[in-house]
Amino acid sequence: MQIRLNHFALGARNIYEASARLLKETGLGHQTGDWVGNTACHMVPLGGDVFIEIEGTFMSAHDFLKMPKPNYTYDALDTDNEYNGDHFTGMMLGVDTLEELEEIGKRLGGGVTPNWPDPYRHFQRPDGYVRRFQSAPYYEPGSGKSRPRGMPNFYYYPDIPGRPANQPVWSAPHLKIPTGVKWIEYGGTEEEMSAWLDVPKASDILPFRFNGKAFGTWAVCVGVEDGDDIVIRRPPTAASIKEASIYKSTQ
Amino acid sequence: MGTINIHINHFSMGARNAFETAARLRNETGLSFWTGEWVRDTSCHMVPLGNGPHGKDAFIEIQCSVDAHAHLKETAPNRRYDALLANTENNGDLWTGLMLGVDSRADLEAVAKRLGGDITPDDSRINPYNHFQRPNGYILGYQGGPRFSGGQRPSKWPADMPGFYYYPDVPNRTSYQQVVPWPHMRTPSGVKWITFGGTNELLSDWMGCNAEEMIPVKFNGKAVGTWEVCVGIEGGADVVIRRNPTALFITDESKYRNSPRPG
Repeated sequence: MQIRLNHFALGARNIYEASARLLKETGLGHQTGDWVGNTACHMVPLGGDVFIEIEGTFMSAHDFLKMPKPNYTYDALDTDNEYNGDHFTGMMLGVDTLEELEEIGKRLGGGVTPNWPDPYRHFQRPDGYVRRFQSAPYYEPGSGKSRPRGMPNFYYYPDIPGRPANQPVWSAPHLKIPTGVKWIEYGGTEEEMSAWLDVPKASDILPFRFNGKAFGTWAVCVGVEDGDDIVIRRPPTAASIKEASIYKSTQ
Repeated sequence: MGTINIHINHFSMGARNAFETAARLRNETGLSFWTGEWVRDTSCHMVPLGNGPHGKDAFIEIQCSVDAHAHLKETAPNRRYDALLANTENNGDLWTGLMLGVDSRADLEAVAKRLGGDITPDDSRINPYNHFQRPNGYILGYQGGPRFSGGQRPSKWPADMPGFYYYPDVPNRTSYQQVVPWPHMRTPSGVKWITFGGTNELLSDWMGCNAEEMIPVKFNGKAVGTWEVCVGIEGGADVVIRRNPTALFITDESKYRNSPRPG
């Protein structure tokens, strides 16, 4: 089974401001208009089929206020930092088949998300395209099980040409062309990640560097054509949540 | 004042979820949109309406707040929020504004002065956060009026009287940008008529001309604001977009008028 990087989720208070700021910081452009449920995403291809989804809850004046509180991600993003509250909220790994995804889900004591028939539960694009995916581990609501916060989950995207990493970005001055992720600074230890991935050494299959701090992505280094590597640093959500026990478990 | 050409510039449609609203409006009308424009904590999906004889290259901006954190820190009453929460049709969608256009800054200044106000500054280069921005970095410079001292609109004017705008960059006007392709997409050919609340006397007094002769407007005598927009379609039947106006759901304007936040 080949496990690879799929994408990084970068939570933002205002995804428009966050993606414009990231563009100025790095020269990496983005797509607009992708959304799922009450979350909007600006997609930043990184090369090599990997991307960042800059995600934010909108409907802020309405649905957001009805969401269960306390809200783990909201509270992390509400923590001020030098990036207007931006936090890495997730790292998602990819596998190549549904069978592999099911195997991982089973190994981690759960299953895979259903292929929901309702398009509202999948990412949609402005042209009407619905990007279906399934992920693992999925634990039935009420099962009492949950994925450890900050550990990556796994995705299967059947439509490879439709992947966000393969879509064009908005043209902008001084755009840089990314060539792929060179390394990732991640919290925790090699041993913890290896156990989660069920491999002898996680850094042998993915370009991890571990810092021993809170689980989650701390930095992503991206190669660019004809230029210096870019390092995108943001704190992970776990770094800003000191007492996680008050939050209900999430998928 | 009679020499000033006033045209329909755009309509604001407030939404709880601009993404869902834009997709639904397109299913309803065949009119597509483009994405990625924003100003401060507001996102806009833009729906060009074509360049007809009356509604000069007008568009709809479907707007929604995208920053829950900023919203929750607000202390002033938020008129748009309250109205969007109250409306139960079309997932809360409301017409939140009719914006009229003029062809020069001098015209804009004259309109604002006549109404006892001034115009917003031309500060797009030094304060881009206060202006519409696009994903390619373009900043849409514009000026609007009337702006009243201290944000206090004279009480004689209802809250939803249309604003006036001057957009100096014609090729980059919102209505001229490409929409996202979509099956069965229709090509709009301009605004044919709108239904507005109130009376012709009221709007004419505001515009400084006979409103019905200047723009294709019909009046229904109800709450002030846009009620309907009829758009011509190339090779097809006209499209009529009906939504409730904001004022329908705001029974007491006083707390918003006394707020420093613009209505």
